[in-house]
Amino acid sequence: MPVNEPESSGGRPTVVRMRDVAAAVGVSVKTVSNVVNATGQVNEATVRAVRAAVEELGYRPNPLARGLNSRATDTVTLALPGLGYGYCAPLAAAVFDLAEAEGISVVMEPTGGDRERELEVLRNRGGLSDGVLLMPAAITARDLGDLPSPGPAVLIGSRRVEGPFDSVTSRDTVAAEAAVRLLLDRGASRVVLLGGERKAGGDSAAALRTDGYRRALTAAGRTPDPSLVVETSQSSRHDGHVAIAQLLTRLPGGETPFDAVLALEEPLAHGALHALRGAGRDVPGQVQVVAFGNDEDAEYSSPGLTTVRADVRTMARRALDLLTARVREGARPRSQVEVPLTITERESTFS
Amino acid sequence: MRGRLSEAGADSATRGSATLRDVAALAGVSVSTVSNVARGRGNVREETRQRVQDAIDELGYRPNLAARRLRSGRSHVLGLALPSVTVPYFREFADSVLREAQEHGMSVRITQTHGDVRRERGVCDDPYLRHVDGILLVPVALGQEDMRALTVTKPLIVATASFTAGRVDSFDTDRFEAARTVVAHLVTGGRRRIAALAPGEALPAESDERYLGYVAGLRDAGLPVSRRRVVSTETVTFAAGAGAVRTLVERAPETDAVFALGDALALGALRGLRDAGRTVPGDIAVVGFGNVAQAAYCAPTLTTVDPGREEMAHRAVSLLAERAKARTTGAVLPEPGHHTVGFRLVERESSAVASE
Repeated sequence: MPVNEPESSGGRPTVVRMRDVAAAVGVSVKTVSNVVNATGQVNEATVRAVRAAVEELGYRPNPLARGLNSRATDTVTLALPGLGYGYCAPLAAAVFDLAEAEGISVVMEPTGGDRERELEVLRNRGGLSDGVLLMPAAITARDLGDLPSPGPAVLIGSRRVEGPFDSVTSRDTVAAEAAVRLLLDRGASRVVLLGGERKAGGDSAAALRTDGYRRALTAAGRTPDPSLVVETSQSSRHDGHVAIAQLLTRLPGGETPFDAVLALEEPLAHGALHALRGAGRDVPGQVQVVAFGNDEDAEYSSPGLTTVRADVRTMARRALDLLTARVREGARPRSQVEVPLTITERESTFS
Repeated sequence: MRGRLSEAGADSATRGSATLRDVAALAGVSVSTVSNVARGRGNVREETRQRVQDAIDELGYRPNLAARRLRSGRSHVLGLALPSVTVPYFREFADSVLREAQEHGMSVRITQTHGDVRRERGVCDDPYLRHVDGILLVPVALGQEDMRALTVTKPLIVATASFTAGRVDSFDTDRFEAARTVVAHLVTGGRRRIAALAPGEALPAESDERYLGYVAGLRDAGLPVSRRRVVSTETVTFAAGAGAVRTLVERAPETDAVFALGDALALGALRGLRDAGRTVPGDIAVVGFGNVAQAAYCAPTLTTVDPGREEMAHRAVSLLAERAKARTTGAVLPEPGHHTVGFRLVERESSAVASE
């Protein structure tokens, strides 16, 4: 079920991609790229076949791809904190797939969530690539204001950092709000926020989601209980396990001091499920569990885990399109695209 | 290192090739002042900073990486070719590689091969991996023959596969011994009708050392190898694992243990067996291969082989960085060869001896 309405863009027209031409002719994307961009060596018959297919299918070169192929490095830099973080891995897979279908290669620049590395990527002064997709974990609007003449870049992720760049953000606050509402609707009254941020006012993914958690509770006329907002040092399964195990031992009577968990990262939820199982608590009978996540682990775990899932494919598509437009038009109004998340219900919540 | 594409109409041919000296001349300041501004260091007056910045912008000067690359003749980028970044084992391996590369001051260009043998074979010519200093390939389809025919044009290291061709370095655990150890463990736990879930088209590839180790393990114990109990899967995914055990319980209902040659298959199998009404480990034991993070947290927790992923990433990236460096420094390194990484059987609930 969609957490909120998709943007009223009215459906995108079907775009013929280089991959489609390649498939029609039965050659590789690279061969089509060579013909379209007059690079490399392609035999005459293939050139004719590709041109015929280009005409027939109405293919128009992606300006980013054409720009890259004809002028510079054919490459987009994808700068993420790492693959084990949030929805980075599925997002990366989507970016690889979509970019490579256009004959563009992707360099992954791990930032480790380090401010200096994020800024270095945005300066993009090494000619490493022609455009940057960055998931900002540490940089602030202030950093971006000080950035001298940055290259083309699109910021992508949960955080929205004001500044000169186009952005594609997932609507995490709204999604967290919907997840808590779902738990309350299903009878939960004490919802643990696992991996939340106690301090208000931050703009990390955790802070944005915590905001949504508080909003949902307030909207339902409940007062958020600070003891149920559990911070974790990392988002690992281990951290989730330890945190929930500790909460369970807090009351000596063996009563469960909560009846639901919203985990802000999926590994935390797997740790939580493990702790609940170890303590003999039934999920969803005694405790319902929801997690932000995109992993297959959720679908195949026992019980299957209800997730709040980012639409990484749409995010990747929109980000690449924005980068393309930025490359083609240079100075143009800044675009801020928001992509909704989706809740997929499985066994860990009452249906 | 030609022009950026951001400024419409900018003449790309003249941009990007400017030197520190060009910027200094245009701004009318010293080279060290430019350097300070470019790096955001030193005490530079705002008016001067602005003038230098204007010159930097006008000339499209790029410090740091470009200069470093010109000095070293290297790109400081590693290529990593692996089947997919969403399969848990490969994702965790890639993450280890990213961290190791960072330790060496390198970034990583990743390409997904989707297990296509042509992409694995042509990895040195892969258009997506141009300009990298060296390539780390994680093959799943490449055979010994392909390896001999491989054109190696830059430092190449193969991880999680062993090749005796000797023209490239390879890192892997002893898969044969590891699989044999798994079967011995299951036999010790009283299991006799041990099935295998193996990636491969019709039957698991004879080149999959894990499959051969499984067969050897059965022979060690004097147990027959039953084709009915070998289920091949097209992919190494959760869905494939769940599907394979559905097939298995129909085809060979007597099965009392499953060795899945990949943790994603094993995790899918746990779920598939539960859906088929079989208990693990009561009715059927399950053992995986890979020791992904989820293995310690799934229900029941998964017994699996830890093939030394972290160690492999560490050693492979270090060696690749060394080989890349040696190309420009002329340093002499040992001939390429195979490097064995130790494995460990991690015993958890899924293969426990069923209690009475």
